[in-house]
Amino acid sequence: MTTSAMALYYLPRPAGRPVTLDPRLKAFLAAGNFAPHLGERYLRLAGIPADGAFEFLVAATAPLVSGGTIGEAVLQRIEADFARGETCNLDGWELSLTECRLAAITFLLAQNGVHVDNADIAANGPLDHLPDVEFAHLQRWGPQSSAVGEPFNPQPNGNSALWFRFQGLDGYPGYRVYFGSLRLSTAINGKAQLITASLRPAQLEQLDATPGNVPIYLVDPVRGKQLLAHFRFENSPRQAPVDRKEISAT
Amino acid sequence: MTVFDTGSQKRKLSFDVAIYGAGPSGITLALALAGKGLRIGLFEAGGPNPPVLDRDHSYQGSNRGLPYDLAGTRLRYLGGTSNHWGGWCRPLDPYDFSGRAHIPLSGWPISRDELNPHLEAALDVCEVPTGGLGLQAFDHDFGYDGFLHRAVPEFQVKNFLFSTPTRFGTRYLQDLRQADDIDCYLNSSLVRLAASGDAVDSASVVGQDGSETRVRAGCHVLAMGAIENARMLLHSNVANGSGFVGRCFADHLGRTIGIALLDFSNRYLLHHVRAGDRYIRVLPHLSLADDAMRDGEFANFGVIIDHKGTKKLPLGDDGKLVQRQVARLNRRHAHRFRMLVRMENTPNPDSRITLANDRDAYGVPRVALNWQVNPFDLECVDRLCRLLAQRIGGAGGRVRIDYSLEKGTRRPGTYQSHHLGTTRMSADPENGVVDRNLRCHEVANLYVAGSSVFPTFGFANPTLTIVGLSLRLAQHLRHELRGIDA
Repeated sequence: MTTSAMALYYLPRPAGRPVTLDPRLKAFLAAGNFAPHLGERYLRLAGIPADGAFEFLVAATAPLVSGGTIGEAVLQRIEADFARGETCNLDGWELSLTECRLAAITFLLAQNGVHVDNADIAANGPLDHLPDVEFAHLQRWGPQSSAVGEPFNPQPNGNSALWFRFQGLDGYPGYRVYFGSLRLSTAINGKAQLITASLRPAQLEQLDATPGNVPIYLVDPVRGKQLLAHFRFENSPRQAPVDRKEISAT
Repeated sequence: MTVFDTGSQKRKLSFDVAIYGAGPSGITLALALAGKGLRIGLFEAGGPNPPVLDRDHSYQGSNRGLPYDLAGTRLRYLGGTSNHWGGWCRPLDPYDFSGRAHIPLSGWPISRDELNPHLEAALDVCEVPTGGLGLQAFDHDFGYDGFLHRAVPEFQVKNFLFSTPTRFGTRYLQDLRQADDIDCYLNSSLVRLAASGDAVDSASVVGQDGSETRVRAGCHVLAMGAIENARMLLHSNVANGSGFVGRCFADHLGRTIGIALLDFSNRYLLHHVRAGDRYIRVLPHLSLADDAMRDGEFANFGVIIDHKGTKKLPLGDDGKLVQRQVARLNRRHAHRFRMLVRMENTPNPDSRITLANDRDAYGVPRVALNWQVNPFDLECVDRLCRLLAQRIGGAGGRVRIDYSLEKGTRRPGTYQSHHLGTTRMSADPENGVVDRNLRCHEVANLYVAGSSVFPTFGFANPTLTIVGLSLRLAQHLRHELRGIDA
């Protein structure tokens, strides 16, 4: 079945509707795998009524969370869609119904004020469901510690930056570095076997860090997560002023 | 050989075989007949150099069908159209030779197997390096790991290989000169065939100086290209009992059909493959296996998936989102490729060459072309695009079909300057002009060579098959005229 063009359809915001999405699917969507704009286009093109759209889409994608990893299930379902001709034509692009529906769910979640952002992920412990894998061998990384509350490896824009040098990195652009439960802005350079990630000042405050270790993960929402290292927060010099004489004495 | 530069010098000439047209077909035939005790005349309307295509040129004509450059797609001088040939080589597929229920008038009266020995020899004539693989090179796997056709069983790769390209007029001039039994006449235009009963009595050839020569021969062979062959038969009113002379004119179409987002390994574009101490050029095309093509009722086609002009291919805002989405799902970058289909034209009796009222300088009526493409062919492209979108999607890529990418004036596509089909080969006289041996059904000593005899056309460039057919015709004529078997 190919979804044909239909009259433009105004889709009001489905406010107040309870979100009953499986946490694993929600985490998968949160990884930014689908473009909300494509979802919106699909909803308008397919003429899916606003009333019940979310429930319809969640029900239509329910088989995805019946077993196995969510990423593999999505890919298999998309492949099956194309084999059966269950596609949707968006601006000439032939897409599978499943990917359109998942994009539409992403759009509706955002419309509904359900922002599947870092805070949401943290509250739901989204990394717990991901299997532990090793994507690549970590050779070096830095910086490895900082004082509590202080920026580290500060960048011109005020962010704090981390770098990781790998061996065997495949350059997949969807990798994300997680600092504890915070998803960081991540840049991948497969050729240089290098990943860089940065925390905004607001994220640093959000950490409300205390002295101790914070796990750092490399995450591929389809394949799993790799524990890279632990970042060490040390006592802030402002919390424990240093005796200058003592320093000079040593 | 004697080469007469300015037309014939005698008023009467006599040969065992008279060949009209010194392009790939005529030159191949003449050289293949040489050394067998036959007297051969080879007549070329042009000279050794390109002529000026002014308004008075004999190739000018009228056109009331799809846009077509009648004069610019042909070359009237020694070597013929090999002088602007790009060197593309691939034999027609067995599928092209077979009868197909969904394509009226399809099927050759000979099989591809029957032609294979001559195609193998044609590879040498056309100077096509195959790395020692011969004809197998056209379906050989030149290291296509990760390519799309490996993931989708119904897909198949079809390779083009490349000639130097061979310019027949210069490459084989020395061979022609050394052949004592070939006389070559330049600037000698065939203007009429005179037939009585079931045989051609003589042919009239006019030189540049206006002098007319009467040529008698055991057999006459037209090898002037699909437009001129038909023009001469129509003008001479011979061999047209079936009414098929001039009909089923066709050309291959190349058409940009859209954009594919794919893994980088899917490069159906020019490869240089090391074979021994040299490199051979291979251009793989994505196509369907014969069974899948027959089941899906497709005309033959090949798809190039390359980077050419991709910077000018608009992804659009949605396309960029799709590209990003696909990359995230597949965990690798989705590269942007152009998709171009090279498609078969199916026989269309209404696509035809007729004679216009005005005449050229030799008094021969000019050509009136009405090139038409069957709606089935365009519908095939639509179905092919849907199939590609589904199969490429299933293999992890995405496709956007966009016919508007083909430049405005070139719809339904860019023709390839392959003139085909105007004196089609057929088993029975009712459905064609020449028989399986390229002899006109109704005229015992008149043969036609070249791509005008193709009953169906595939999507491959015709030169290799043209040369193969000429070699096969030479074998037949040696047997007919001298009792020499293969």
